[in-house]
Amino acid sequence: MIAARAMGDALRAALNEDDRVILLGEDLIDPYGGAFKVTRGLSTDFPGRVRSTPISEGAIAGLSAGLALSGYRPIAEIMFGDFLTLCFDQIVNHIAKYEAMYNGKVTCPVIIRTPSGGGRGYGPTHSQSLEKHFFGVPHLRVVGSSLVHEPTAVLRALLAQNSPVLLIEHKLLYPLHLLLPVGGRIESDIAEVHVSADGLPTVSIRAVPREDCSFTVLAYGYQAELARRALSRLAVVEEIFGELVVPSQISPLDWEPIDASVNVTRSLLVIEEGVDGFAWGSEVAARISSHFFGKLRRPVVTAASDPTVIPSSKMLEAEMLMTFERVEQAIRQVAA
Amino acid sequence: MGVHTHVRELGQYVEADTTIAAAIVDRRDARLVGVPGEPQAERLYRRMRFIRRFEESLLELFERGLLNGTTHACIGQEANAIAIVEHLADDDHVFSNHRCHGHFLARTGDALGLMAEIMGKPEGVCGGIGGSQHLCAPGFMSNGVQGGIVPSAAGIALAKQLDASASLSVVFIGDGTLGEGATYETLNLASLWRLPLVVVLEDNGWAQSTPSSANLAGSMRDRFAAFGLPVFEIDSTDVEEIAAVAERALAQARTHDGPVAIVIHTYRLCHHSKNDDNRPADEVAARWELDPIEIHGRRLGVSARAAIDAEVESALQDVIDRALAL
Amino acid sequence: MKPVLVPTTDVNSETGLLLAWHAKDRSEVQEGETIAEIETSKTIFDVPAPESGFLLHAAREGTEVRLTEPVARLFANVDALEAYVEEDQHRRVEAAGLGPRATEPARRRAEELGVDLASIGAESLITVGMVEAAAAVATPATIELPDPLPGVAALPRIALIGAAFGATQVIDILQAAGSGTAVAIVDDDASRWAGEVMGVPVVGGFQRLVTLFGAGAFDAAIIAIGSVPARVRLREALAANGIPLASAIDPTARIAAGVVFGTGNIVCAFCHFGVDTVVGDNNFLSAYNSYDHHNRLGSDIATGPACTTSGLVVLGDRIRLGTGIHIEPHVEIGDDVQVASGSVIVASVPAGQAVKRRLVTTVVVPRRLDAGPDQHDRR
Repeated sequence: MIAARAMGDALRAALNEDDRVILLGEDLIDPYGGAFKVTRGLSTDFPGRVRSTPISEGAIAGLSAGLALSGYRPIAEIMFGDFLTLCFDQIVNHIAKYEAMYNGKVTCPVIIRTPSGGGRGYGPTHSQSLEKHFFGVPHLRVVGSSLVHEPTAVLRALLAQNSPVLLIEHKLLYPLHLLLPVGGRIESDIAEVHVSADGLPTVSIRAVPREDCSFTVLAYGYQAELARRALSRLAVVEEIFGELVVPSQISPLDWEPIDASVNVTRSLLVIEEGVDGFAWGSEVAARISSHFFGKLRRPVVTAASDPTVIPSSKMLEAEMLMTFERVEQAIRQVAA
Repeated sequence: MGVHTHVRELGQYVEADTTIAAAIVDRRDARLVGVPGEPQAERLYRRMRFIRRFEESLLELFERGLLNGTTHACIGQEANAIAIVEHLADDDHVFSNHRCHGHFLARTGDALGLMAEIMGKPEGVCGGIGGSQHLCAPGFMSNGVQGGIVPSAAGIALAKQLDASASLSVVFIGDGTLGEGATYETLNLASLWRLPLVVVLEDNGWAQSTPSSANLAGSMRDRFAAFGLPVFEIDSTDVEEIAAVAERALAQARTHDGPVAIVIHTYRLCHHSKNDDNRPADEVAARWELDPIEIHGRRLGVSARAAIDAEVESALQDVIDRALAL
Repeated sequence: MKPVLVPTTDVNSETGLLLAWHAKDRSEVQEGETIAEIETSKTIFDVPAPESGFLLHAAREGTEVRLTEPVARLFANVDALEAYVEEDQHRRVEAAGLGPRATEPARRRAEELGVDLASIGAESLITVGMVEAAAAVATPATIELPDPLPGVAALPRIALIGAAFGATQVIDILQAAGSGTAVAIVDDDASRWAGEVMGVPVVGGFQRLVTLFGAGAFDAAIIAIGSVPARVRLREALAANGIPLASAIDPTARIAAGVVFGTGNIVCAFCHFGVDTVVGDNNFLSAYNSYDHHNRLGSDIATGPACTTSGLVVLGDRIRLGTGIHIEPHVEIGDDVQVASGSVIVASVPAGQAVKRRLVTTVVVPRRLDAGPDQHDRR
């Protein structure tokens, strides 16, 4: 099943299972069903609970806050992750603060989902991965959608909690089929699933037993899929063996499965599509370097897109964005 | 990234220790919030006097160095809070801004909780974490970012609509808030979706140090009217005049299929926060002539007024003593 | 979708080596544009795009490709390409259930060693290490590994590495030259063990070689294998084990004054080395190779027959020459260069490059009747 359809089904399950769930966002109503068609069919089947709004990202986030404070479970869609900047005040100064600053008297369980990422040639303001600016906001969880995590299960786990969540969905994953672990395997690779206390999964994928892997790769979203393909190819063609760890919640991180892998491989590569500098990889590198001080075989390697605007020209975009080639290059660097 | 022993995960924030809470009973003191059966005029006076004396005491405690941080007193605007809250039901919700003490005290009467909160004590309304601007109590919330509260209040209104409840979501803003885009996004959406939202604009003519003439183009009431909201406007510091308008406005809000705006032209007699008042002295002096406490207080008999003043004083002293002892 | 097949009439090869892509994966190419080059046993040649379109690679640089299968595919537009990739991913997910999964190096090693991948029965990917382990196991301890020959007094006893055709050449040269006697052959292909080549026994694998040297059963080794990477790998392994190399130089070779040879060189019949030419180590030079005066040859070079250089030519290390190659004076060929048969090299070649020839075929066409008398009559 393709990821967009699976996400639509996850939202459908949420609407079915919990009367408090409300969807808000731009252009969600049928027949359009959302800019990426994820919500197609939902406004018809759940009238009044799936609402299209004017182009008001601040109000979308803010109304979601008020709904959540009143006991509802709003799931807001921000059409492009690039537009998260317009919700920044509502997310940081309101949604993420209410419960803590009111000393636990209320909860504000808003879920904001947004399609993000480049590779389609959509240009500087429709291609970014801005989640990096939300990492480390206290009391805000950031979750990344990946092909190896089942969306309905992830959404259910998020709805079972009362904390605010930013859910990042890379738009290039939408037309791809999910690759869920079946019988401990994804395609022919070994796939191990670790579930956090919150019910959020991390999947570890390797072609050969962990002891034979010489490095760990940490990635999420579309980059996780690129890394998976690259590692698969490098294993078969060149006997370069690495273990890919794909967390669903990317901030804060569940370190247990990551540590379990690095503890054996002693080498880590962190890949992200966001731009380089003060990024996801920076945080992971700092923590892993500290935790495994003296035991790593080489410094943690981070790979991210170049810190500049994302050009519309696909050729120019491919020069600064994390692409398959750059992922493979980064893997070779850590495998050397 | 290190081990943060004092950071609590969401879900670990709990109300103050129940034993502490149990020790602080009777947060609502009739001497401050209204004695059952007393004449309406006295009730209104008493409730305004409560807010006035609370704010003055607060500023005095700051002067004496017993409080730290920042605060935004509402001296001169007490009538607005009382006039509106008098016409609210228990299941209505109030969202206020940085200058929220009057609204909070009018709504909850919890002087000790607020004092303790501003003192940063665990017995405070929000455990000392929220402080002066970030308060939460049944039917009441406040936050300190201009305009940011308006969408939250609209969301609460939407929840009431989905609940098919007849209650209202009231949000207090200032003239300065009209600079924030979030306000207009929300007016548009609230009107479009016919939300039971009441926007109360307290125009005190000044946004911190900037007069509204330097901040606002066009007309205040037209802004609301542009989005289709009925507007109830009054220029007064007389609590009875304001209450009359509030009564009409809120009655309409309950029957009207959509948001309503109440614009009260008023004046802040104290500093914006502390020691930051550079308004023309003669302007401020002239406005003291229109002190709402005086205007309404004159309606009471001299002895009745003196008696209420004494009760409020004594009740507040209790609160301050207990708060300082925590 | 247009599959791109390698345009070769080379019926002797089933596979070729994809040396390089000239057009990037998923780029747009024009009809006739060179998109790749392939090396087969005979030559190196270009693969042109049969039509314009968007290119999807089907193989990686440096890998073996089957000449009967497409090395790439062309699509009219990017969407068609992406759709194909998507389907293909799906197809591979389904196909993944079939057949033992092994890395490409493991497949090659398994072929070299005659190991059946299915017999390994691994849960995850089969690696080279696992294949070699299986090969070691598969050799039943019951096989009687023969002893080396005793050798002839006063002649160095030589052990050969490689039990295929290279061994026949070296044994013949040693017999003709009388410079040593082949007493044993080792080979990684266990199926050859206990066999013999021209009367010389195949006594086991590389490990046996090390054991026998330790027991003093031979004096030096010669690597009788044509593959350059194998020569490098084995030379290093021998050095690591302290086993010296010996040379085998055919008596018909004409060696001029001042010529210096390193160790481990195989020089076949009728080779010529001009005045003051210097030759490195571990080179395998076929018959009728001529290195004219003042040449310098590196090490680990392998050549086909009839390669000829002019004076003052320099060859680096690990060079592979085909057959019938001519090199003009003063030319320098860098390390790791590969030269296709029949090439005439008139300028220096930087390291890591390949020298290739375009395939020219002879065709038969009807004569044009209106062309008048034979054009050649007109002078």
